[in-house]
Amino acid sequence: MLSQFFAILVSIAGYKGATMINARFQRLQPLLVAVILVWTMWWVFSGDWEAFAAGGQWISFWLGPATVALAIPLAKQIKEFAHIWRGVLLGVCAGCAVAIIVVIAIHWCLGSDELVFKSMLSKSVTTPIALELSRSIGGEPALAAFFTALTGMVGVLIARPVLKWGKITDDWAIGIAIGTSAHAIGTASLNRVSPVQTAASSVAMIVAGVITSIYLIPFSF
Amino acid sequence: MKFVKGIVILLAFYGVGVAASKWLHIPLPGNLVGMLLLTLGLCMGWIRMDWVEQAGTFLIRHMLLFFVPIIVGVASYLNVFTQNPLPIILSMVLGPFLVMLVTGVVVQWYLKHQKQKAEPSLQQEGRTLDA
Repeated sequence: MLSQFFAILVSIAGYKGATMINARFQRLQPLLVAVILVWTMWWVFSGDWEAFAAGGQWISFWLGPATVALAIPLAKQIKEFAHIWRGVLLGVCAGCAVAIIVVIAIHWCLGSDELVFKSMLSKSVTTPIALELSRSIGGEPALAAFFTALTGMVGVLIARPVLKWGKITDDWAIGIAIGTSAHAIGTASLNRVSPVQTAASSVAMIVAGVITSIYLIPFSF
Repeated sequence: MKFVKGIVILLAFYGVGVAASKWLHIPLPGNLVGMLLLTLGLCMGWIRMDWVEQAGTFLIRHMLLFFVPIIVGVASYLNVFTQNPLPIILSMVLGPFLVMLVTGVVVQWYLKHQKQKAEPSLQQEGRTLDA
């Protein structure tokens, strides 16, 4: 019980530290810094990862209500979304197809492990959907969670140069691109930037989850 | 007090979302069902924006914190990189890169295309919603 309390404390301290570091060095990604800080602190103080997981659940639980809260930026932008939903659907359908094609192409060319391959197929959708999907297509859910988290972090890391390089400047296009490629981690990284991008990214995250689930139906047999 | 009320409403929608996804066999996770329900509630005026705005904005602002324990927990899987490093690294970098580029370019192309068709007055109305 006490170790669970410490896990909560260490997570919050690591996050707080990361936001302070991020305020000074804006190029560093706060989530990556927070993970490194928390991992190091726990490794030094305890090293009992089961206790950490048990305590961490008290924090990750809030991901549920926080995701529900994304309805707030979404509801504020709903009129504009109703105006452009066809473009959003088109973009997300294309993006999700690319996500799956890349994994299949690399698997064919380089021959990765079958379990790793199947766990990677769902990597660009939000974690709760990715877990279910990988289970239904014969992947390993824990591995899928790892790839999903990594994809989100890489997505946030490369976002600025990629968007600049592709001359993607519209708020909706940016949000949809980040929500489709980096799911909730990408969405969370946008909230300090623009409410329109956050709303767009939340929409993309839901639509991408549905579209990818449909795309992966053939793999579940 | 407003904050507590907001948190309670958000938790209630989350709970209803989880229950609905489970009992009605909706192929979406509970948190996304809850988000869709709250969006509906806010748009229809059943839930007033100022009931949930303060609490919701707080949760969204600190959303990265809620990912920290999950990612620290799966960090032990880093050893899969030693088994087949090249395909994994390629997928992890090439995947997000191409998905972001393709999605962004398609949406931006569509918006530009639509802007040319739409009447200027309509477009202006859409833009002011950003503020």
